Amino acid sequence: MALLDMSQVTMRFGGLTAVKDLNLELNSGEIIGLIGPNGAGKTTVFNMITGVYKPTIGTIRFNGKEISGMRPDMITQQGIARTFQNIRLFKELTVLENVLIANHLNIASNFMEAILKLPRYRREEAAMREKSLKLLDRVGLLEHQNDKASSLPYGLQRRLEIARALATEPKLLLLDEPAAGMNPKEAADLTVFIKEIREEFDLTILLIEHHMDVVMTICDRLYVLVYGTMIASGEPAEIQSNQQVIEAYLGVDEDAENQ
Amino acid sequence: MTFDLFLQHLSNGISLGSLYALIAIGYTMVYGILRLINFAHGDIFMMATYFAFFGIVTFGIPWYITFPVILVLTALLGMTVEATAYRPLRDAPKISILISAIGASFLLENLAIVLFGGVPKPFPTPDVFTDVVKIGTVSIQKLTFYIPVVTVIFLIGLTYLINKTKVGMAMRAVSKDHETARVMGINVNQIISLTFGIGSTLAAVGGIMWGLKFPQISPLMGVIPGMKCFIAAVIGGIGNIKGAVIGGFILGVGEILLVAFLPDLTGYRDAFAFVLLILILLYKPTGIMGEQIAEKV
Amino acid sequence: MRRNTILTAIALLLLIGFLAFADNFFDLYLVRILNLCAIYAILGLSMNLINGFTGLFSLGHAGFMAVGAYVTALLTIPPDVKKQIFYMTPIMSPLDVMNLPFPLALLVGGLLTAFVAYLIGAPALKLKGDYLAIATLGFGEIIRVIFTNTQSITNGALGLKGIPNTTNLWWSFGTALFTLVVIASLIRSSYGRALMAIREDEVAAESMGIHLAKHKNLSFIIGAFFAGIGGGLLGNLLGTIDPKMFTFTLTFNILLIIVLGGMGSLSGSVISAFVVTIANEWLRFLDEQINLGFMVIQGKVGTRMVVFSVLLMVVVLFYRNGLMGNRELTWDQLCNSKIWRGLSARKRGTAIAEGGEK
Repeated sequence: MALLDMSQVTMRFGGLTAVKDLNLELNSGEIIGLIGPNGAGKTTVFNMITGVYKPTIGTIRFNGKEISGMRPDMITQQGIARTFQNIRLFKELTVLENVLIANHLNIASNFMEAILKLPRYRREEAAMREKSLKLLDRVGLLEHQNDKASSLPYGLQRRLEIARALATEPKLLLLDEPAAGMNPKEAADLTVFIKEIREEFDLTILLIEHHMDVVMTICDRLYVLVYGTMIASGEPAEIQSNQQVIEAYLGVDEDAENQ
Repeated sequence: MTFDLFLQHLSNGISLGSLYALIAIGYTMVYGILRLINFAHGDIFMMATYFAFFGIVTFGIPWYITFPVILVLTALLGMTVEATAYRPLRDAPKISILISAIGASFLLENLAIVLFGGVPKPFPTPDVFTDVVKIGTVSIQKLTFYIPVVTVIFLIGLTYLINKTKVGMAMRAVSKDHETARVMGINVNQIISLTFGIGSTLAAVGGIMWGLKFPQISPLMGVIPGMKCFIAAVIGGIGNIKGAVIGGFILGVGEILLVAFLPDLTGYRDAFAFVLLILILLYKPTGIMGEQIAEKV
Repeated sequence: MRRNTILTAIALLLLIGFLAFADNFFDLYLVRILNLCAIYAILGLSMNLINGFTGLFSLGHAGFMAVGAYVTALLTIPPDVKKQIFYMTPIMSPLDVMNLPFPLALLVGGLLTAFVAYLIGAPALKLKGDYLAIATLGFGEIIRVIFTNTQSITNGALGLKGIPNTTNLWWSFGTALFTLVVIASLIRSSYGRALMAIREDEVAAESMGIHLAKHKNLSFIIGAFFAGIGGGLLGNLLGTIDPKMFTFTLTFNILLIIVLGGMGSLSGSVISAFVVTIANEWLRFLDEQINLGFMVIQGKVGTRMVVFSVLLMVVVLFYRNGLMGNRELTWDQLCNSKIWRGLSARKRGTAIAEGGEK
């Protein structure tokens, strides 16, 4: 059974159809790329999976359970986490706090226990801290733990966003243009990093990316979206030689090829 | 309730609605262009009535000269408020701008108390407006007819300005996107300033007619009408001028009829608008004419 | 750590000593101002929780205070006094005979205010930004309108008189301290971090699994609880309350306190509560008369509020972070400050300076 299964999903905003009749399947452990020119509806797909939008038509199943229509925080509870195209960290808070916040969803103590600092809360807080510090150490941000998130250089902010998503203990991780704005060296590092975390955290990953090097290197399969419609899917090599994709996608957005 | 009485209430409701509409347009225009409640708008409306008082009573200038001058003065006041309280915070967090706006509102109110005294003053009412006409058994002040007519005239003017002139086109452009408008060579600050000026002018028109209809003015008189007109703008769909007019009428007529049919609720009259606001925000947050604005994620 | 505990204990003892002294030797006027300072600190802290830490721009504080003040007053005014003041419309039963000790009445006041906030929050907290501001402002007004019209419960526009003057320095400062400790503890917990995450970015907070409605309500309700208690203390300090007291101007004053102190700083709110309250009294001459020695200028009513409005605008326009921004005053900071280092070095050699680095 597929881990994530979108069937016949359509999203309309007023008169505009952003995504049309999309069928998408992710199997456990895969890294799947979602590509397409700007405005193709890729981020809309993410927003539907994470509950920011409710699809106009169609169903989304995660682990066999219908999730379309659930609140975003409930979907995160189910085990889906994401990053954002235009980095959305908690800017005024520290790096450690950013990761700690992602642990809050599993808290068992209520707010009274938290205010009174009762034993159960103390235990939970200590466990959260330990886990967060370990995670920061893993992603190489430990030395920055007390820095304000907004003070980090761009590349590290991206990394922190991934760390924050990992802290929610997801089964499925959605990455929205993780390599945006990176030079080839940084992008290559990121590629390695993504592969590593998939192994370590036992993840399935869906990523939107314009860096073709990244996409072709790490993705097991690709979906190509143009104007809200999926025009092709398959292994990277197939997609590269798919005439329809070359015409519709590479032909339209030459930059993507050059990158 | 007799039909005559109903007509009387209805005509009252329509003239109150016209006044609300005029003031509501100021809120909706500023919101459309800055995405911001101009908290001081009700106080600008109040200042207009004091200008009229000083022009006619203190300086003895005839009303037909005073009133047009007031429109200009109030426009200038609105532009001054924009330049001091809003413009410096153009790129600041929204919460700061809101606080500054609240500060400006309090400043105007308390300046009025200090300068004009807290005791209400009688608004000068030339006979031309207050004469009573009898239609059958219904007696109605002439003013009750003038108010909707004046409102319609100004509305036509405004619609023309926004839809048919270059300035209007610039205003529409700025309300869509400041950056793009700037790139197209529009002086964004000037257009925003002008928007405040126009909104304030309409508030002055509303203020003058308000004074004629309820001839007692005081420094805090703008607070409640201000809030109600903002609500009218929200009901109609904030940012939309037609909506503001519709909202103004719904609120004005609704309020008068509520009190007429359910006199027990007279004390709750001012709460009516807020209850309506909550209902509309819950069930149709974009108002009657508003467009859906999806937040970009 | 140890040093901080000792310093806190010393500060507490000093405060108690000061309060005991003030209670016995200060004149009534000064005591009243100190009481007001503490009450405004409670109000500032509670509004800062909602507005500064959670980022909900709520303007309903005066309404919450009204609920707390009326409940506390109605529960503490002796039954025979109630009979006298409700001469227009008799007070409805069982309110006429109900009577509770002050602390219990205060608690009931706070809890009922929290309940009102719960009812208001369910619809209002779905709104954002200035819509929330206008809706909460509206609720504040509606509460006032209701209180003016429910003659048999609130005595309408006549207000309540003869409220026992039970608020004293111990109550006001004790409650202020309690408020500070509770809110600080909340802010520093996982729940507090969730609230700040909502302030920073709602969309991201929600995608991190934070239930927005639940946490916004939590902040709103706790804030309202303390606002209600602050209102109760205020009513039983002043002895009379009426609906006109709880207008938007009152909310404005508290807003000024948190903006001046720094949205997102608890110590800032406390300091600023004292500054604003004392300034409010000190500037009273502006509204009455200004004596320049050789001549007396008649002050004008409203001048004080003009000063405050200008102050609010100046702070927002030029010093957006206020006194403290979102930093807190801590012992570590105080001990490491230059002034203190200089003093301690002169007085007691290097001993303290070393202690400060532990």
